[in-house]
Amino acid sequence: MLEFQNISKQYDEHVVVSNISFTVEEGELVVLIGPSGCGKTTLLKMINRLIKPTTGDILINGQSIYTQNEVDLRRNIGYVIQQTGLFPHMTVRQNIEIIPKLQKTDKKKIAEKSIQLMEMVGLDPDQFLDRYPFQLSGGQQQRIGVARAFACDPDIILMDEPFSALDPLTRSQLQDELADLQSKVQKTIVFVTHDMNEAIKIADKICLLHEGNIVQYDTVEELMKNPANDYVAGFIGRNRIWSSPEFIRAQDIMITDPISSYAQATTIRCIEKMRMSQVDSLMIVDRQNKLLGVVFAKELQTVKDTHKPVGEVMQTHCPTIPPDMNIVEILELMNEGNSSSIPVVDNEGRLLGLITKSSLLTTLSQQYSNNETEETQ
Amino acid sequence: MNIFAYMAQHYQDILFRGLQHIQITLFAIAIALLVGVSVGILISYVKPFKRPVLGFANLIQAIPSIAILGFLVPFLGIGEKPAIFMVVLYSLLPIIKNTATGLASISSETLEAAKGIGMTRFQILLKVRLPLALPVIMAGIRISAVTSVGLVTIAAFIGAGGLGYLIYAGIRTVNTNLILSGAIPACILALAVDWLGGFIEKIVTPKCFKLDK
Ligand SMILES: Nc1ncnc2c1ncn2[C@@H]1O[C@H](COP(=O)(O)OP(=O)(O)OP(=O)(O)O)[C@@H](O)[C@H]1O
Ligand SMILES: [Mg+2]
Repeated sequence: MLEFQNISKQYDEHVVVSNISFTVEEGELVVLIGPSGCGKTTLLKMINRLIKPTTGDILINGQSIYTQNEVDLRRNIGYVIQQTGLFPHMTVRQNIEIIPKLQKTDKKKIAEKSIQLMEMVGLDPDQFLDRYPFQLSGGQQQRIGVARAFACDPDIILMDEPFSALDPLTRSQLQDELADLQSKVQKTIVFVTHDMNEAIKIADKICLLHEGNIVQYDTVEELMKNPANDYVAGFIGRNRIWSSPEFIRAQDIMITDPISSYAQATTIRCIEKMRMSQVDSLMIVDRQNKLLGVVFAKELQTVKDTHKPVGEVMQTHCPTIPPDMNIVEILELMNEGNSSSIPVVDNEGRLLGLITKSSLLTTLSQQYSNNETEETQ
Repeated sequence: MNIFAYMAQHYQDILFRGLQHIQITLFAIAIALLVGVSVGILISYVKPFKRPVLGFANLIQAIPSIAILGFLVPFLGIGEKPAIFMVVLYSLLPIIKNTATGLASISSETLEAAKGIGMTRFQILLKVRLPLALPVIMAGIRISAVTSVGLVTIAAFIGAGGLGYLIYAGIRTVNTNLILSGAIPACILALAVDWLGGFIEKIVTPKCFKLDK
């Protein structure tokens, strides 16, 4: 766990970071993002003590980094920077192995580790270990940078715009690989960028900075759904959510008070209820609000005995979805099942809401109505 | 008499003076290298020293070598000692300057990466800064070495021996052949030193500077 406690930084009169506190949980990838000059790099470099805060303290697992030996601290923190972080006069192998060698780690272990690291970043060890950095493409160099950061098996890894100098295709590829790698290794990673797309792609949490202050520190999903203010919304881009529709979930778009009825109700009453509420389906629930089945207006009208309890004619095998299913999956499901509405239930089977074709349409159409008011990005 | 015949006839003497010349030069260069590189490193870490040290080294270069020799004799007597001292003094500037320049020319990102991944200041100097600065430092040493060959010639003036001895003896006795039998080997020696310097420069240049152009 990495804790910033009331961190401030001042250069002469110029306040660069003002009284920032936040915590990065173990195994989390937190992205520091904000416009140029907002203090991202400054904050990042405080973690490995390249920059000393004017006031405040930083704790790693409860221990102040200022109680530790500076060099030992840095060796336990991986560090990847934008360019030229590799030593040009050393081969890939020498670059990766430099710290383990200085620590006098067993030679055989170092060699094994290098091969393992190369495989981790997707480069053939035989082909690349003995090359010099200038003999590699930009993307390959950055992969080596990442490999070097992992060489000492650090718990924390710092990355300062590691992919920003790469072409969009390579950048996107490396982002995917980082996200993939992180899901396997679960390191605590602090990642600096000014690219919101990048942040959304890789972050567990985003810390949005503005002129040395935290504007919002939240999960990606929260940040997109509930931006703290207009600045955040503007920075994210109002319709950004549509580039990540997997963050739109059933619970966000469902009708929360679907028309329902008990199983004992007669069909005639149910038909009446549907007519009054102008719906074509009715959720049948028990006293605990557990979903028992669904009836549709069309079917009820074919029932001869209008005093039959609706429980006897309802469909009990209709599909249901959990509240956190995302809109992409919902659309697929609706397509496949050819159903016009799907109930949303919690894991105990209680009815939470309903998704209908028209509620989906309303959600989707927001995208276009919002677009008119938003500046083009 | 033909100059080559003359040299062939006196080859033992020329060889002796030549070896003496090489010996003084090598000795002076070795000292200048140790002192120069150390001072160069020192002034790149202790910034306030930089200007006065470089200023002083510049000043020395501005003084004529004969004047320096004359100034040294009362303190160090005559012979090899003041000669070596003078050559060292003259050789320092290019070495100090190039060491400091070479060390300063390393990109701040590289240095910060080195620091950030947990290298100590000394390890950064040894493993990053010096290797990357080596070609520039070596160029300084090469300049010093070539000038030294010439300076040692002048040092014969205060009895240091070397090829300059032949030249002075030739001047005194108005013997052109004798002058040339000192001057020609001194020239060849300077060229050889330059060539050797270039060769070493190539060897110590990290691969990254050689292939990327
Ligand atoms: N050594 C310094 N002396 C004075 N001011 C500094 C120093 N280093 C940084 N700053 C100032 O601190 C502010 C924050 O710098 P920082 O490098 O953290 O920005 P950043 O958010 O990383 O920006 P970018 O996206 O451009 O990298 C900037 O306004 C910068 O001018
Ligand atoms: Mg920055």
